[in-house]
Amino acid sequence: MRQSVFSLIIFITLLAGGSTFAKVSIGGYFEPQLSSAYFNNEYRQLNSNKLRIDLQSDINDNMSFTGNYNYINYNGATEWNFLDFIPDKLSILIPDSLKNMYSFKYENENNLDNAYLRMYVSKFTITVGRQQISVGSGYAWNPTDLFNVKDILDPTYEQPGVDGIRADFGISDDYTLMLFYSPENSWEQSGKLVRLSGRVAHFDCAFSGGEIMQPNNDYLNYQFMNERRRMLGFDFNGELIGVGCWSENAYNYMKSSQNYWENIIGIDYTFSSGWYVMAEYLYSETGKNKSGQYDFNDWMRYFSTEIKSLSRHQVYGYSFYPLTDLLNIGGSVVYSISDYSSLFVPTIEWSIDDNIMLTCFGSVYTGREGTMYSHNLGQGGLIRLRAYF
Amino acid sequence: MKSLYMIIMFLFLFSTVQSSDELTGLQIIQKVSDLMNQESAYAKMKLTIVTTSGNKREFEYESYSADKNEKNVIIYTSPARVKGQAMLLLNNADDIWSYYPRTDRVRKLATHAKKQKMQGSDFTYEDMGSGDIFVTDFTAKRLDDEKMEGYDCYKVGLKKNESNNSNYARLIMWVIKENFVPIVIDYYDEDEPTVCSKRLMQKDIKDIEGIPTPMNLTMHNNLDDSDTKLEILECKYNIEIDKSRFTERGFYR
Repeated sequence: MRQSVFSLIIFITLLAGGSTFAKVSIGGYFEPQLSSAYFNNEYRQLNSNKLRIDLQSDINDNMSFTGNYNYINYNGATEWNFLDFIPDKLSILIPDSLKNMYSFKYENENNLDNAYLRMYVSKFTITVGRQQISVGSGYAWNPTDLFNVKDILDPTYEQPGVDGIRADFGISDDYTLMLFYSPENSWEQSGKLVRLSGRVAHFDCAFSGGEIMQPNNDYLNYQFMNERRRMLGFDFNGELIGVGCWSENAYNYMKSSQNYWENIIGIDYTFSSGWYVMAEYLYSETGKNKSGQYDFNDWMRYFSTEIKSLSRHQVYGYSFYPLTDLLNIGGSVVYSISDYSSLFVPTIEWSIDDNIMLTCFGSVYTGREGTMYSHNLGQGGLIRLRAYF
Repeated sequence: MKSLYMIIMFLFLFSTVQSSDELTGLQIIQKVSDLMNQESAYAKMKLTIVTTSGNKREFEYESYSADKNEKNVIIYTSPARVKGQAMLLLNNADDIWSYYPRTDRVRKLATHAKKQKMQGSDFTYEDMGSGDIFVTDFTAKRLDDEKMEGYDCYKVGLKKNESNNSNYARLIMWVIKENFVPIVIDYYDEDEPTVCSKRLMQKDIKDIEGIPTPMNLTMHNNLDDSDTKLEILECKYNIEIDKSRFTERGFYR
């Protein structure tokens, strides 16, 4: 830990102070966050402090460097057990002696989130290193994104970087071919993504294809394995009769388990008052039609983000309204059409200063025991202060 | 002979004045549009929001425009909270993309997004990247001339054509006769076309490369009683801008 911080300091000092280096801009933010939840008949609190340092430098006219370093420390209720979130009728399958195997702990994080070189010549751009990969038109879910799974409580939060090399070829002003390769032990195990995107009238459209090794674990029998997932996808984003609309569709060919579809369709609109509303529907063939069909592995695979949804059908709604120039109110709701459970996330955003934002989220689960958004998952909220520098 | 020359000159000048006074609403707005929409432009801007409670928020951004303002890119440079965020507006803001550097994500927005306030200010994205919509999307009617802010002005009413998707039902514009700078614009929203929701005032007109340019703009929101000031810190007209800047790929540069 001490060595890592020392390395970081040296890294920044060299970049910022070396006269032979290109000019480096240093920014970032500090983000203390307090979350609290009423869970298992008691209030539990988890506090975190995140420091993110962003470095950016234009090395020359055709090359830039970007890096982000994260340090996060956690305190409070840092130790949890997945079994506490799983319905009793399923968690009793695990003998007491093995229950510890399902516990997890928020460990302090200290990592290089992104660090990449970007080079551009004419219509060709290449990005090498650990980088953000954000593809697809969906807001809450992205079926064509092989590398990330969004947090339904906060879908726009930064995703961790992905190691790889990305090339973007501008076929014309409107069409781009993107290739991404994320190396692993061998070519077969490495992540690959090809994406052809372009504009048709007022629509952005893209065809995607790729493959990745995806975990497919059996948490009851402790068999942990990866299987190859090949994906073919199509997404678009545009508008019809003044209403924003988008769709993202992926068919996944699995090496050993069943192939499956994932589809989303969404609409949004901004009223003259600035009130914004959005809704998105998810169809996930890995999901089940009724809560009674969720088995132990479904829950564990959902918590570990191996699958996007327990339910086959879900709807996500989001809205915000600028109450004043500095205060937005709104929130989101997720409803499982399959098991009739829902999660409400009321939100307030307040611009305290040019560079200070205060965000408050609530999380209210309303479903009955055993459903995806069961009230047993805890009622609570989160206060996040973010100071940029 | 000399007196004949004087008479010809007098008649010529008189006819010029006559034709200037006989400009129709459309001709005036066309001249305004030609002035506002140069072939290409680059500007460094400072946006200051003053809320009803007196709080201030300051933003700085760079803007690039091409094809007579039909293409626009806005890149925020400060404060740190928004640094690197960018908007691409094409086809007179009918096509909008946003870019967030923290997620390296480009997202296409529907045209209704142009109703959204720019960083919570009293300017909407429609106000920033509207190109020649005064000419194409509105019907102009010349009203009685008036003096405004000490200038002799043409007063022109603009009514939205049914086919377009502007957020404004109508506008009233006071245009300085001398240089065709619209010194004041009143905006009437689509929802309440009888209520003037906002007033834009342009000040400190400077000659930049032969083009009269208001260096300070203030948008007053009559409904919220808030102000947003827009100050031009640096401005260049008719410069060469790489075409790729006006594509989604341009966000990554």
